[in-house]
Amino acid sequence: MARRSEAEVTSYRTLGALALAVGWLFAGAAAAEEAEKIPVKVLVTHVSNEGTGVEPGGKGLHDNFRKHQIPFNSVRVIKKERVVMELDEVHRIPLPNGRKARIRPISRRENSVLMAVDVEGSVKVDARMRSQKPFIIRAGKHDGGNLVISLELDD
Amino acid sequence: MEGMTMRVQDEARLHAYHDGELSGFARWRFERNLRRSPGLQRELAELRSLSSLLHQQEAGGAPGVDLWDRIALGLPAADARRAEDREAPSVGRGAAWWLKPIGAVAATAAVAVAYLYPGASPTAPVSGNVVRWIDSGERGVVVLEDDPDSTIIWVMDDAVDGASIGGGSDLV
Repeated sequence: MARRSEAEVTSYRTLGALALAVGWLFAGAAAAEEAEKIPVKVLVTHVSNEGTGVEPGGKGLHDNFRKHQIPFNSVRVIKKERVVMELDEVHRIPLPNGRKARIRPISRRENSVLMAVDVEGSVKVDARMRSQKPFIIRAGKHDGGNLVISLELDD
Repeated sequence: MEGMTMRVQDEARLHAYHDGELSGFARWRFERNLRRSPGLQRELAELRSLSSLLHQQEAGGAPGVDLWDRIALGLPAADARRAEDREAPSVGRGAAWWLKPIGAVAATAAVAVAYLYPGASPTAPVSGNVVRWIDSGERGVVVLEDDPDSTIIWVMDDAVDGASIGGGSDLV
Protein backbone atom coordinates (compact mmCIF):
# COMPACT_ATOMS: atom_id res chain seq x y z
CA MET A 1 0.00 0.00 0.00
CA ALA A 2 1.42 3.32 -1.05
CA ARG A 3 2.25 5.71 1.74
CA ARG A 4 0.69 9.12 1.61
CA SER A 5 3.11 11.92 0.95
CA GLU A 6 3.79 14.45 3.68
CA ALA A 7 2.21 17.18 1.54
CA GLU A 8 -0.97 15.14 1.17
CA VAL A 9 -1.23 14.60 4.94
CA THR A 10 -0.71 18.32 5.53
CA SER A 11 -3.49 19.12 3.05
CA TYR A 12 -5.90 16.78 4.83
CA ARG A 13 -5.01 18.37 8.15
CA THR A 14 -5.54 21.86 6.74
CA LEU A 15 -8.90 20.84 5.29
CA GLY A 16 -9.92 19.31 8.60
CA ALA A 17 -8.97 22.47 10.48
CA LEU A 18 -10.89 24.58 7.98
CA ALA A 19 -13.97 22.40 8.31
CA LEU A 20 -13.78 22.73 12.09
CA ALA A 21 -13.41 26.52 11.84
CA VAL A 22 -16.38 26.80 9.48
CA GLY A 23 -18.48 24.61 11.78
CA TRP A 24 -17.52 26.75 14.75
CA LEU A 25 -18.44 29.92 12.87
CA PHE A 26 -21.85 28.60 11.89
CA ALA A 27 -22.50 27.41 15.43
CA GLY A 28 -21.52 30.85 16.74
CA ALA A 29 -23.77 32.59 14.23
CA ALA A 30 -26.68 30.34 15.14
CA ALA A 31 -26.10 31.02 18.83
CA ALA A 32 -26.00 34.78 18.15
CA GLU A 33 -29.26 34.58 16.27
CA GLU A 34 -30.84 32.58 19.08
CA ALA A 35 -29.65 35.15 21.63
CA GLU A 36 -31.55 37.86 19.77
CA LYS A 37 -34.81 36.05 20.44
CA ILE A 38 -36.75 37.17 23.46
CA PRO A 39 -39.20 34.61 24.80
CA VAL A 40 -41.95 36.13 26.91
CA LYS A 41 -44.63 34.37 28.94
CA VAL A 42 -47.93 36.24 28.79
CA LEU A 43 -50.72 35.49 31.21
CA VAL A 44 -54.07 37.30 31.14
CA THR A 45 -56.26 36.62 34.16
CA HIS A 46 -59.44 37.71 35.85
CA VAL A 47 -58.94 38.19 39.57
CA SER A 48 -61.76 38.78 42.02
CA ASN A 49 -63.31 37.80 45.29
CA GLU A 50 -66.05 35.71 43.69
CA GLY A 51 -65.02 32.70 45.74
CA THR A 52 -64.54 30.46 42.72
CA GLY A 53 -61.00 29.53 43.66
CA VAL A 54 -57.62 29.81 42.03
CA GLU A 55 -57.05 27.95 38.78
CA PRO A 56 -53.73 26.07 38.58
CA GLY A 57 -52.29 28.46 36.00
CA GLY A 58 -52.98 31.41 38.29
CA LYS A 59 -51.39 30.03 41.43
CA GLY A 60 -48.14 31.95 41.04
CA LEU A 61 -50.02 35.18 40.53
CA HIS A 62 -52.19 34.49 43.56
CA ASP A 63 -49.10 33.79 45.66
CA ASN A 64 -47.59 37.10 44.59
CA PHE A 65 -50.76 38.97 45.52
CA ARG A 66 -50.99 37.19 48.84
CA LYS A 67 -47.41 38.09 49.62
CA HIS A 68 -48.42 41.74 49.37
CA GLN A 69 -51.62 41.21 51.33
CA ILE A 70 -53.72 41.89 48.27
CA PRO A 71 -56.90 40.03 49.11
CA PHE A 72 -58.18 37.99 46.15
CA ASN A 73 -59.57 34.51 46.47
CA SER A 74 -60.31 33.82 42.81
CA VAL A 75 -58.02 33.76 39.81
CA ARG A 76 -59.31 32.66 36.41
CA VAL A 77 -56.87 32.21 33.55
CA ILE A 78 -58.19 33.84 30.38
CA LYS A 79 -55.16 33.48 28.16
CA LYS A 80 -51.75 31.96 28.50
CA GLU A 81 -49.16 32.11 25.76
CA ARG A 82 -45.46 32.14 25.13
CA VAL A 83 -44.32 34.53 22.46
CA VAL A 84 -40.84 34.69 21.00
CA MET A 85 -40.07 38.26 20.11
CA GLU A 86 -37.25 40.19 18.56
CA LEU A 87 -35.98 43.58 19.62
CA ASP A 88 -38.28 46.34 18.45
CA GLU A 89 -41.07 43.94 17.52
CA VAL A 90 -44.58 44.80 18.71
CA HIS A 91 -46.83 42.07 20.06
CA ARG A 92 -50.51 42.78 20.69
CA ILE A 93 -52.47 41.13 23.45
CA PRO A 94 -56.22 41.41 22.95
CA LEU A 95 -58.08 41.78 26.23
CA PRO A 96 -61.61 40.54 26.97
CA ASN A 97 -62.77 44.09 27.72
CA GLY A 98 -62.27 44.95 24.04
CA ARG A 99 -59.05 46.80 24.64
CA LYS A 100 -55.56 45.62 23.96
CA ALA A 101 -52.14 45.66 25.45
CA ARG A 102 -48.98 46.01 23.40
CA ILE A 103 -45.48 45.05 24.34
CA ARG A 104 -42.18 45.81 22.65
CA PRO A 105 -38.67 44.81 23.75
CA ILE A 106 -36.45 47.86 23.50
CA SER A 107 -33.05 46.62 24.53
CA ARG A 108 -31.41 43.64 26.06
CA ARG A 109 -28.79 43.23 28.73
CA GLU A 110 -27.29 40.01 30.02
CA ASN A 111 -30.29 38.78 31.93
CA SER A 112 -32.90 41.46 31.48
CA VAL A 113 -34.88 43.20 28.79
CA LEU A 114 -36.14 46.76 28.77
CA MET A 115 -39.75 46.37 27.68
CA ALA A 116 -42.28 49.02 26.66
CA VAL A 117 -45.80 48.08 27.72
CA ASP A 118 -48.92 49.97 26.75
CA VAL A 119 -52.20 48.86 28.26
CA GLU A 120 -54.85 50.72 26.33
CA GLY A 121 -56.84 53.06 28.56
CA SER A 122 -54.79 52.21 31.62
CA VAL A 123 -51.06 52.70 31.79
CA LYS A 124 -47.92 52.98 29.70
CA VAL A 125 -44.77 51.78 31.31
CA ASP A 126 -41.18 50.97 30.39
CA ALA A 127 -39.72 48.37 32.68
CA ARG A 128 -36.63 46.23 32.90
CA MET A 129 -37.88 42.67 33.06
CA ARG A 130 -36.06 39.62 34.23
CA SER A 131 -36.79 35.94 34.11
CA GLN A 132 -38.35 34.39 37.21
CA LYS A 133 -39.75 37.80 38.10
CA PRO A 134 -43.21 38.40 36.64
CA PHE A 135 -44.25 41.92 35.83
CA ILE A 136 -47.90 42.24 36.84
CA ILE A 137 -50.18 45.02 35.65
CA ARG A 138 -53.79 45.71 36.45
CA ALA A 139 -55.55 46.41 33.16
CA GLY A 140 -58.83 47.71 34.58
CA LYS A 141 -62.13 46.42 35.88
CA HIS A 142 -63.87 43.58 34.12
CA ASP A 143 -66.82 41.33 34.82
CA GLY A 144 -67.08 42.09 38.52
CA GLY A 145 -63.34 41.82 39.08
CA ASN A 146 -60.05 42.95 37.60
CA LEU A 147 -58.14 42.12 34.48
CA VAL A 148 -54.53 41.43 35.27
CA ILE A 149 -51.70 40.90 32.81
CA SER A 150 -48.55 39.12 33.88
CA LEU A 151 -45.41 39.26 31.73
CA GLU A 152 -42.27 37.30 32.36
CA LEU A 153 -39.08 36.60 30.45
CA ASP A 154 -38.82 32.90 29.71
CA ASP A 155 -35.05 32.62 29.18
CA MET B 1 -8.37 60.08 17.70
CA GLU B 2 -8.28 56.31 17.74
CA GLY B 3 -11.65 56.27 19.51
CA MET B 4 -13.09 58.51 16.85
CA THR B 5 -11.81 56.19 14.11
CA MET B 6 -13.40 53.25 15.89
CA ARG B 7 -16.64 55.15 16.21
CA VAL B 8 -16.70 55.95 12.48
CA GLN B 9 -16.00 52.29 11.69
CA ASP B 10 -18.77 51.13 14.02
CA GLU B 11 -21.20 53.51 12.42
CA ALA B 12 -20.23 52.36 8.92
CA ARG B 13 -20.72 48.73 9.97
CA LEU B 14 -24.03 49.59 11.61
CA HIS B 15 -25.34 51.11 8.40
CA ALA B 16 -23.95 48.26 6.33
CA TYR B 17 -25.63 45.73 8.62
CA HIS B 18 -28.89 47.64 8.50
CA ASP B 19 -28.76 47.70 4.71
CA GLY B 20 -28.03 43.98 4.53
CA GLU B 21 -24.57 44.56 3.13
CA LEU B 22 -22.66 42.55 5.72
CA SER B 23 -22.32 38.90 5.06
CA GLY B 24 -20.59 35.86 6.45
CA PHE B 25 -18.01 36.45 9.11
CA ALA B 26 -18.45 40.25 9.15
CA ARG B 27 -22.15 39.83 9.81
CA TRP B 28 -21.51 37.27 12.55
CA ARG B 29 -18.94 39.53 14.20
CA PHE B 30 -21.26 42.49 14.06
CA GLU B 31 -24.13 40.49 15.57
CA ARG B 32 -21.86 39.34 18.35
CA ASN B 33 -20.96 42.97 19.13
CA LEU B 34 -24.60 43.92 18.80
CA ARG B 35 -25.58 41.34 21.37
CA ARG B 36 -23.07 42.75 23.83
CA SER B 37 -23.71 46.41 23.26
CA PRO B 38 -26.99 48.02 24.39
CA GLY B 39 -25.80 51.26 22.76
CA LEU B 40 -25.41 49.58 19.40
CA GLN B 41 -28.81 47.88 19.78
CA ARG B 42 -30.33 51.25 20.51
CA GLU B 43 -28.74 52.84 17.47
CA LEU B 44 -29.89 50.00 15.25
CA ALA B 45 -33.44 50.26 16.60
CA GLU B 46 -33.45 54.00 15.94
CA LEU B 47 -32.08 53.50 12.46
CA ARG B 48 -34.80 50.96 11.73
CA SER B 49 -37.52 53.29 13.01
CA LEU B 50 -36.19 56.13 10.92
CA SER B 51 -35.92 53.92 7.89
CA SER B 52 -39.53 52.77 8.30
CA LEU B 53 -40.70 56.35 8.52
CA LEU B 54 -38.79 57.31 5.41
CA HIS B 55 -40.12 54.38 3.45
CA GLN B 56 -43.61 55.27 4.53
CA GLN B 57 -43.18 58.83 3.40
CA GLU B 58 -41.68 57.74 0.10
CA ALA B 59 -44.67 55.49 -0.46
CA GLY B 60 -46.88 58.54 0.05
CA GLY B 61 -49.35 56.68 2.23
CA ALA B 62 -50.33 57.09 5.84
CA PRO B 63 -48.26 55.08 8.27
CA GLY B 64 -49.79 51.71 9.00
CA VAL B 65 -51.04 50.52 12.36
CA ASP B 66 -47.85 48.66 13.13
CA LEU B 67 -45.79 51.73 12.46
CA TRP B 68 -47.94 53.84 14.77
CA ASP B 69 -47.63 51.15 17.40
CA ARG B 70 -43.89 51.26 17.14
CA ILE B 71 -43.77 55.03 17.26
CA ALA B 72 -46.19 55.18 20.19
CA LEU B 73 -44.25 52.57 22.11
CA GLY B 74 -40.98 54.19 21.14
CA LEU B 75 -41.69 57.56 22.69
CA PRO B 76 -41.62 56.44 26.31
CA ALA B 77 -38.70 54.20 25.46
CA ALA B 78 -36.53 57.19 24.65
CA ASP B 79 -37.17 58.58 28.13
CA ALA B 80 -36.48 55.23 29.71
CA ARG B 81 -33.16 54.98 27.94
CA ARG B 82 -32.21 58.44 29.07
CA ALA B 83 -33.07 57.44 32.62
CA GLU B 84 -30.83 54.41 32.28
CA ASP B 85 -28.01 56.37 30.74
CA ARG B 86 -28.02 58.86 33.60
CA GLU B 87 -28.22 56.27 36.23
CA ALA B 88 -25.30 54.62 37.97
CA PRO B 89 -25.47 50.84 38.45
CA SER B 90 -28.34 50.16 40.80
CA VAL B 91 -26.65 47.71 43.16
CA GLY B 92 -28.11 48.00 46.61
CA ARG B 93 -30.65 50.59 45.64
CA GLY B 94 -33.73 50.29 47.77
CA ALA B 95 -37.33 51.32 47.62
CA ALA B 96 -36.40 54.83 48.76
CA TRP B 97 -35.74 55.58 45.11
CA TRP B 98 -39.44 55.91 44.70
CA LEU B 99 -39.56 58.78 47.12
CA LYS B 100 -37.91 60.92 44.51
CA PRO B 101 -40.37 63.27 42.89
CA ILE B 102 -41.52 62.41 39.40
CA GLY B 103 -41.27 65.76 37.70
CA ALA B 104 -43.98 68.02 39.03
CA VAL B 105 -45.88 65.08 40.49
CA ALA B 106 -44.58 63.73 43.75
CA ALA B 107 -45.46 60.52 45.52
CA THR B 108 -48.25 61.18 47.98
CA ALA B 109 -48.08 58.06 50.07
CA ALA B 110 -45.70 55.28 50.87
CA VAL B 111 -46.82 52.20 52.71
CA ALA B 112 -44.13 49.59 53.23
CA VAL B 113 -42.71 49.20 49.73
CA ALA B 114 -45.86 50.33 47.99
CA TYR B 115 -45.79 53.77 46.48
CA LEU B 116 -48.89 55.51 45.35
CA TYR B 117 -48.75 58.09 42.61
CA PRO B 118 -51.62 60.43 41.81
CA GLY B 119 -51.27 59.80 38.11
CA ALA B 120 -47.71 59.21 37.11
CA SER B 121 -46.74 61.93 34.70
CA PRO B 122 -44.88 61.30 31.48
CA THR B 123 -42.97 64.55 31.92
CA ALA B 124 -39.99 62.82 33.43
CA PRO B 125 -38.71 59.29 33.59
CA VAL B 126 -38.45 57.50 36.89
CA SER B 127 -35.50 55.45 37.98
CA GLY B 128 -36.55 52.47 40.00
CA ASN B 129 -34.92 49.07 39.75
CA VAL B 130 -37.57 47.79 37.39
CA VAL B 131 -39.87 50.59 36.29
CA ARG B 132 -38.02 53.16 34.21
CA TRP B 133 -40.88 55.29 32.97
CA ILE B 134 -44.59 55.32 33.67
CA ASP B 135 -47.61 57.25 32.49
CA SER B 136 -51.00 56.46 33.97
CA GLY B 137 -52.69 59.65 32.82
CA GLU B 138 -54.98 60.96 35.53
CA ARG B 139 -55.15 57.68 37.35
CA GLY B 140 -53.30 56.90 40.52
CA VAL B 141 -50.92 54.00 40.40
CA VAL B 142 -49.32 51.85 43.06
CA VAL B 143 -45.94 50.39 42.22
CA LEU B 144 -44.69 47.41 44.20
CA GLU B 145 -41.27 46.73 42.77
CA ASP B 146 -38.98 45.96 45.66
CA ASP B 147 -39.87 42.32 45.78
CA PRO B 148 -37.43 39.77 44.36
CA ASP B 149 -40.28 37.62 43.08
CA SER B 150 -42.49 40.08 41.21
CA THR B 151 -43.29 43.64 40.31
CA ILE B 152 -46.89 44.80 40.58
CA ILE B 153 -48.32 47.88 38.88
CA TRP B 154 -51.78 48.53 40.25
CA VAL B 155 -53.58 51.23 38.31
CA MET B 156 -56.57 52.84 40.02
CA ASP B 157 -59.76 53.53 38.11
CA ASP B 158 -60.37 56.96 39.56
CA ALA B 159 -58.70 59.74 41.50
CA VAL B 160 -56.41 58.49 44.21
CA ASP B 161 -57.70 60.43 47.19
CA GLY B 162 -57.97 57.91 49.99
CA ALA B 163 -57.15 54.98 47.75
CA SER B 164 -54.78 52.35 48.97
CA ILE B 165 -53.81 48.92 47.90
CA GLY B 166 -55.69 46.21 49.75
CA GLY B 167 -58.89 48.16 49.99
CA GLY B 168 -61.25 50.30 48.01
CA SER B 169 -63.36 49.70 44.96
CA ASP B 170 -60.42 49.18 42.61
CA LEU B 171 -59.76 45.77 44.04
CA VAL B 172 -63.08 44.15 43.19
